[in-house]
Amino acid sequence: MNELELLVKKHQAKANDIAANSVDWDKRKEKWLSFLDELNELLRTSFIQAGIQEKEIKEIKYQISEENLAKYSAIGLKVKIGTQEVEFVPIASVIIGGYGRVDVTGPAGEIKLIAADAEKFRDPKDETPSYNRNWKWLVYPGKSKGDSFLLESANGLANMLKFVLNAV
Amino acid sequence: MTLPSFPDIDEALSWYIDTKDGLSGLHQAINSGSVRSSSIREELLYMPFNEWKKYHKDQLNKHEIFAVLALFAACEGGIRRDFEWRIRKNIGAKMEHHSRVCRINNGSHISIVNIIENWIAADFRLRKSLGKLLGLFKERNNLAHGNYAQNVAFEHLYDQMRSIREKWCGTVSDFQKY
Repeated sequence: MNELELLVKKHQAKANDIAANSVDWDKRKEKWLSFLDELNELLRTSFIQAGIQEKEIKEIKYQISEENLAKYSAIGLKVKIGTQEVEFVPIASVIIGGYGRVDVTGPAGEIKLIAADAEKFRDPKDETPSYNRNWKWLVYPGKSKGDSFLLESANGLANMLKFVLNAV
Repeated sequence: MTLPSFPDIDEALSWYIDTKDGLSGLHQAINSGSVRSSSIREELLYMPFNEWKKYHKDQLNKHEIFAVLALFAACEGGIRRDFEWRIRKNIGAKMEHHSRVCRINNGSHISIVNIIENWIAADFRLRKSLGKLLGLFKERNNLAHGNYAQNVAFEHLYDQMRSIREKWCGTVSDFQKY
């Protein structure tokens, strides 16, 4: 192969790569908002079952602007637990290495909830778009390495709250 | 004289946590008069608490982005050091996958994406984990080269790189780590 053929092949490969990796951003946003709704529902149900009154759980609409998703609104929650308040603030969907981020803030600190691929390592040939994959919520207290855990139950939620609420 | 060690991703994590704590302590430092920077002192002294909250949040966001770029730099540095070690002419043949890794060495700069792709070709067992790492570096390039803006989450990225490193070390016994 001569130099011109190599050059052309390299540029064609790049164009193919871009086309193969192009994302349907509308569907991605739809999936993100739907996953957020599921999170809010899990939080609401868990808190009510744990004894929090519905009036102590407020929905807050946040305006988010992301380059590929344009401007959109996303719902977060503000929850009063005793004398303390915890906020679940959606930050963005397009994050490096993940599908979304929610910051959880309380009087004792802030932790991150990350929407991640439910499968740890995928086959590189798997072309399933991100919005058709299974996602999971991971809690990142960010205090030391390997301290992340799954948020999938009331126990996970309780563990998470310990990092953002002052002890009584 | 002790030679400086190359920062790895674990040190990047420690630095991230320590400096994040430092940012949170800035408010107290201002009130106690122990901030050294006169420009920061001037900016923050007598700042209303709501303004401080916004300032703190903005600084944390900046901190997160630069920390992520540092994390990628530490990861790339380790992979490149391993690559350089593995292709050394005199002793390279004793290393695992020496000939397969060497084949892309042409004496000029090789992109990190090419090095990782070459590793995937060299060892089938690494295709999933290094496929993930390849994807992360491509997304990093989008951020670093201004292709499109992305948000970041340091801890999640560190976690993924740590898992990939475990798999890589478990598969290639002489991998030099990052």
